[in-house]
Amino acid sequence: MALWLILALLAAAAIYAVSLYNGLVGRRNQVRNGWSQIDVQLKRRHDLIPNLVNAVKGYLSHERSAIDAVVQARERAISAGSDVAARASSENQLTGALRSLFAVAEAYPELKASQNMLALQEELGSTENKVAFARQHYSDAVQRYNTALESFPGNLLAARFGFAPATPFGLEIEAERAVPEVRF
Amino acid sequence: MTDAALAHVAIPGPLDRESFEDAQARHRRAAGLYGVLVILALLLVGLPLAGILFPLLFGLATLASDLLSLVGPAPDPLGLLLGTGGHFGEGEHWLREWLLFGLVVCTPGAVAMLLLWRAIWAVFLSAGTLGVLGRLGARPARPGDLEERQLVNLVEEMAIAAGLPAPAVLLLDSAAINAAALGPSLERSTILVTRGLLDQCDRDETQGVIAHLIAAIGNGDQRLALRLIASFATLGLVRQLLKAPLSPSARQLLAELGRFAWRGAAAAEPAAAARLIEALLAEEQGHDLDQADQNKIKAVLLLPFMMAFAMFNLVAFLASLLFLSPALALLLRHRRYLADATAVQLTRNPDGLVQALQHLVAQPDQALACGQEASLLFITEPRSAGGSGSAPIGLMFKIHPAAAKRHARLVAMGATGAARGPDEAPEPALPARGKLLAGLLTALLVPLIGLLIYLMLFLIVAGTGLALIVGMMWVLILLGPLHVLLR
Repeated sequence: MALWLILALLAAAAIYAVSLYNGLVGRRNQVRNGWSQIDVQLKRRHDLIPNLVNAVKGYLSHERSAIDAVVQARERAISAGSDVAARASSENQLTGALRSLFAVAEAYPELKASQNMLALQEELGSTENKVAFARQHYSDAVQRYNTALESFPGNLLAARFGFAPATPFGLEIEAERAVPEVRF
Repeated sequence: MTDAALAHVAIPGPLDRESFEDAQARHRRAAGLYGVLVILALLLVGLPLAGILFPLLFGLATLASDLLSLVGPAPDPLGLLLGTGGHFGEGEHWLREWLLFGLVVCTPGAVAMLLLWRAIWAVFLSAGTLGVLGRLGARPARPGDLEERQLVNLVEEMAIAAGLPAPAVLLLDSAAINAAALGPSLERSTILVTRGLLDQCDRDETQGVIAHLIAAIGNGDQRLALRLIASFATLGLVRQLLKAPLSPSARQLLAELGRFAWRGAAAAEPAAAARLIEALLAEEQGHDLDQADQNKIKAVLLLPFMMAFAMFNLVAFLASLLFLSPALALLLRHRRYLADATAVQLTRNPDGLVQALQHLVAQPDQALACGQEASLLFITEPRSAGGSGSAPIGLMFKIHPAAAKRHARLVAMGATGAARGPDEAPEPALPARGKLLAGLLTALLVPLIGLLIYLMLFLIVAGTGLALIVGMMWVLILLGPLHVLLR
């Protein structure tokens, strides 16, 4: 009887450990999948930018610097490689450059009204959103995975089977992180 | 607004706040509990129905084995039954014997219904997304239209936020403000949005609606809904089978189903499958029985079918009113709350969904031409064209939570409560005499409702028993001589 009880307990423990391990693997895959989603959306953004540049070049001949900033930021982002931190900072620079380009375009009514530009703006805006939501999904996945790694029964398994904590994607550009100055 | 009314307006303080993670966990637990309840309720509905089917299945088995015995050795169900009869349910093991009796009586019908369910599920899969909403006449989004392009983008954004494959998008040219998600699996899901919603809601509001639908897809609500609809269709099919000897239209439907099964589900075109599903889900279309001037022999022959058909309908109605409908309503409402909480996680903007819900409540009086089963798939209850028709078995209670309750939960998750809940009319406080009266009324109503429930339970048991006894007598009378002759 006692033997059976011990065996049953051992079996239960083994099943629990297996499900814990599989849960960790599943969460790690979610993190990887989340990262590849960001990658897909960032690539899509890179692909859209030449269209944008072509569309605005004619109208914004006096604003070369804004266009050049976007083109250069895109090139840097493409060559940033797969390191999460470097990638995040260069992509954030691209976001900033795009924002200032759209801000400049606001001043040109014909450009703003052109059908092509409207469609492009929707596509790029949506792609920005997709990047943001992909990041949100990625950070949620990272948070779930890291919490599972660090909390009690998981941390025993994690150390043994080489689960490394995941790096969250740097969220803000430096300018956004700065505390805004408020004057009364 | 008077002071008394003000006191009822809930102002979310720090104590009322709930993070979306907590809300999700709470509703997921509740949904799990009610899911178990629904399974129990399905058993309580299905077992008596299976019992009613027993005589017919038994008769068929006896007939088959008698015919087989002409060729070679075959088991003899009738002899087996007569052998065990006589001294039944009297000994000290009466409880065990009754349980065994129940098992024997219910198993064949239950197995038959499960097999039918599997077949209908296959039809559903081949009908694809059109199956349930086919007749609405939805169309794909026009890429040239900026707003529809935006909708497709929104759907893609929310799918990314949920980490799901992006569903297909269909639009419905209707002034109604509503949206639905459907599809048997994550990879094959579709989101359906009315043009009215697109015209009335801004980007944030549409995003809230889409997030709710994607959240529902991710939580498996669509699969659940389709399974439920397949169950309703199974009941419809059994009903048609029982009616087949009496009604030409039922025979026609069964013949079509047979052709469908013969060709194989994979080869059939989705439109045909959609038509079939629609026909199965359709409520009774008046009296389409064979003309009444049948001769007496035929009437006697068909009596058990009529009996089984009537009892099947009665028991299905009562049992689902008592058990299935309340359990389903609880489960599905909590699934909606859960999808709302998940939508907040996806958008991090509860205000969009709150404002969209207000549009959804204040919607124009525009019906959607879909069956009532389809309301399982929508974000709020659609006005169905067949509004006068009775609710399908199992959906007699409202399956969508009240808008005010959804609003309150979204406010607890951080929506600015500035916009008041839709029909959150504060109830006036009852005066003392009114309270007394209400108390008296409740005291009267409780035993009355108890009595009603007792009566319904009795009718369920009696109806099942009656169908069983009459059916078995018919089997014995009709097959007994044949049995003696053949063996």
